[in-house]
Amino acid sequence: MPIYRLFGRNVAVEPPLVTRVAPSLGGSVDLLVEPMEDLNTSCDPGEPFFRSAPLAPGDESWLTAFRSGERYVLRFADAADFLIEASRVRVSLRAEGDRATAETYLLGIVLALWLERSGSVCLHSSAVAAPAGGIGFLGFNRAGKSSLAASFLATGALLLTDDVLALDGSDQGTMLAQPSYPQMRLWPTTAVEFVAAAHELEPVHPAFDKKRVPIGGDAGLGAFQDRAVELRALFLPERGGSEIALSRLSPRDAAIELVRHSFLGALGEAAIGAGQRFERLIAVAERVPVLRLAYPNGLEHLPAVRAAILERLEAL
Amino acid sequence: MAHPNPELSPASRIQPRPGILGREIGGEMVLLDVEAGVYYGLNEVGMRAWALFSEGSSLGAAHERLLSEYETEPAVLWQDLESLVRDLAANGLIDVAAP
Repeated sequence: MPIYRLFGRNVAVEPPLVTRVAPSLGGSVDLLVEPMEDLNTSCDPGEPFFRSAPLAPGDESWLTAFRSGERYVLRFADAADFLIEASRVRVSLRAEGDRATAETYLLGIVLALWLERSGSVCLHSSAVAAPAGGIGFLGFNRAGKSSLAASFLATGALLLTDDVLALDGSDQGTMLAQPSYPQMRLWPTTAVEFVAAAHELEPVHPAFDKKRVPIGGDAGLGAFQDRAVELRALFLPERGGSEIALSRLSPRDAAIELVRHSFLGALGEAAIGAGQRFERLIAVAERVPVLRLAYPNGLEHLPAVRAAILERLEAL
Repeated sequence: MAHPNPELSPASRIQPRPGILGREIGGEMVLLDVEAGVYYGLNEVGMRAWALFSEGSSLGAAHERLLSEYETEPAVLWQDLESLVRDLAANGLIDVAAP
């Protein structure tokens, strides 16, 4: 059974992942992910504590979450059921589910919930490791976070993550950004700017336009950071202005933005407890500067944006 | 259910709703309504007003106290307080009790 290094943890997964993930460098296994035949034979999930909105009126909720003691169940209507325990996640594909979609959920929401239950904070963010330290770009879809990260990779920074940024407190009072896996997801128009053989890239999913961009190697982009680094700053990209402008948020406003960009959102509050998550996000806002980054639309502006970010980092 | 646009007078009592968490950060405050998932930021004066309301001060008493602590015009402060209270009520963070 392969053992991977994901978010600073050793994760054994059976069957092996299709996504390119760094192998473990050694050490004990923190999490075992394995198949289960059927959720109902493994536990009684009981009543749900969280339901997402259905994708279409009248549909089943896209995601339903249950809690049974210390165990969580996440039921994704289009893919799989996940039974999450302290050191094991069991997966049961639903009749209409496919493995690729289930793997996307495993590497996103499922692992984020498993990490948060042990004290990590997971943000919706891309992040790179530059000589100055870790730099994160908060954002939802189409916010520009992946393009900014790709721009840094093209000039020698290393990828930490493209979607889920997991943070752990250090003994020195800083926040450590944990590496996820060496892959990005870029829109085709962005991918052609950064990857030589962009036409050969595979789609993330047959139904999506975004391309799967391997990090490292001949066919990909840049290189991957395989160890945690101190997070120096988080940026909130806002495209559309005519000039590049950086403004640091007050810790209060930073805390509210971190809540807005927490990866699990309302699911995390329901699962972990709103008060506890509130304290963790406040702790991040107290330790890591958060800056609003306004910049003009267009990939041609990214070199100047990058220079402005690096200059500002030096002054923090 | 909090009234979204309450009648206000100096005798109005402003009561933080049950379950609202407040946390000071950088000399300001973030409020969290656990049930509704509402997050709300208060500046330094707003945080002080929140503390006075939490201690049971009426709107008028909070106004007087804040006037003694900050350099500001009484009418301007009253307007700011009214605006804050209406916004807090609209976000379901307080109840306003008429005298």
